[in-house]
Amino acid sequence: MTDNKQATDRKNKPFLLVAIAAISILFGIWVSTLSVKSTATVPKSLEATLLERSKPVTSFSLVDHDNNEFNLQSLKGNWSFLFFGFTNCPDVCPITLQVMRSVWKTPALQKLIETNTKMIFVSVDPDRDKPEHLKSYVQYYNPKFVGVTGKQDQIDTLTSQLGILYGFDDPNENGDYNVSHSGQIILIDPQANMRAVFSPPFNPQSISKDFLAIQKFVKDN
Amino acid sequence: MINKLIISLCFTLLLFNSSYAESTHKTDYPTLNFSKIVIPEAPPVASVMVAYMDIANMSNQKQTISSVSSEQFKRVEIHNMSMENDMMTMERLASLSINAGQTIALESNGLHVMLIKPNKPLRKGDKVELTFKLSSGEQITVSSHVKLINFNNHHHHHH
Repeated sequence: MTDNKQATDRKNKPFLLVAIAAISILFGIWVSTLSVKSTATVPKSLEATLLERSKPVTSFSLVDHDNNEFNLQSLKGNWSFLFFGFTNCPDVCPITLQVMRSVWKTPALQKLIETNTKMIFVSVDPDRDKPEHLKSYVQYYNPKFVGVTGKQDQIDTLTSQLGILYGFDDPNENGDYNVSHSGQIILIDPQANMRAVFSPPFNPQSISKDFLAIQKFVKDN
Repeated sequence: MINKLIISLCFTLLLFNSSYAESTHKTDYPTLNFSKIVIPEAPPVASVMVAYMDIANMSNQKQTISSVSSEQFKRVEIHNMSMENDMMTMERLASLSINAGQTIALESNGLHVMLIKPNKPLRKGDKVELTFKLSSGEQITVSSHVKLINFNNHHHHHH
């Protein structure tokens, strides 16, 4: 009995080995094609900076221009372009919002915009930018744009995660003060991960093109 | 006696002439020429607007703008934008000097005229008048109409 078994085993062993080898080789080829596919879709020639590793955004608590809670949950389920500024800004903020207004008119983005893409203007100057004022301001550029603000410490909780800096200058004799701030636009994915940074000077064509490439890359991976 | 009279007359005429020259100063030769004035439309609730332009010093002397005013705005200031510690920041300028023969461009991300607190919301097509006061005493009034900026046709100077 044992002899027969051993004989059978000895006969089957080479076949088994070949089978295992064949499967391993096929598996290896399959895995390698997977990785070739992944690296081939990393968007090349982006003007935006795509983060090597997406960074999960963590909890914060702000309000939108309708005075509704705006928090981490609000970032989930859609792509978000976030820009930080203030409405007493004469140059940088209006220009950026004009650019985004143009982006929102791009034919190739219409489907994404209608379903799951948002433009959010966060005012870091809550003393002057009350939600109602913010609403009129952003909706002038596009009725779908969202204004967000809140308590200074919560604004900081969000800006510090995204590498955005801002600061208040001393008021002048008229009580006016300037707010210095970073000029970048941050792109957040529907899982509320920071994905990319757009740096000025902005161009609506390149923002649109980069966004399409980035969202496709994230979708395919 | 006659001599004294003549001398007084001469002095009077001289004084009169120099003050007369002052008031016709700006028509005798051009000093600053303002061109490419662009005032983009802003949200009606915005408390600031901006004016971009080129300013050419056509004279053979340095000219200094010491203040700007407008009937349409409570205050007008000249600001310069710069990058500091990775942040965009603005600095109000007390005056703006332009060397003889030089042209400076007031444009996005650089020098600009800040129009503060419009007396009423300004829309596309509304006329804005700006009066530039020079340290020489000369005043130059320019006007432009608010434009709706479609980003695709907004020409930037990029340096």
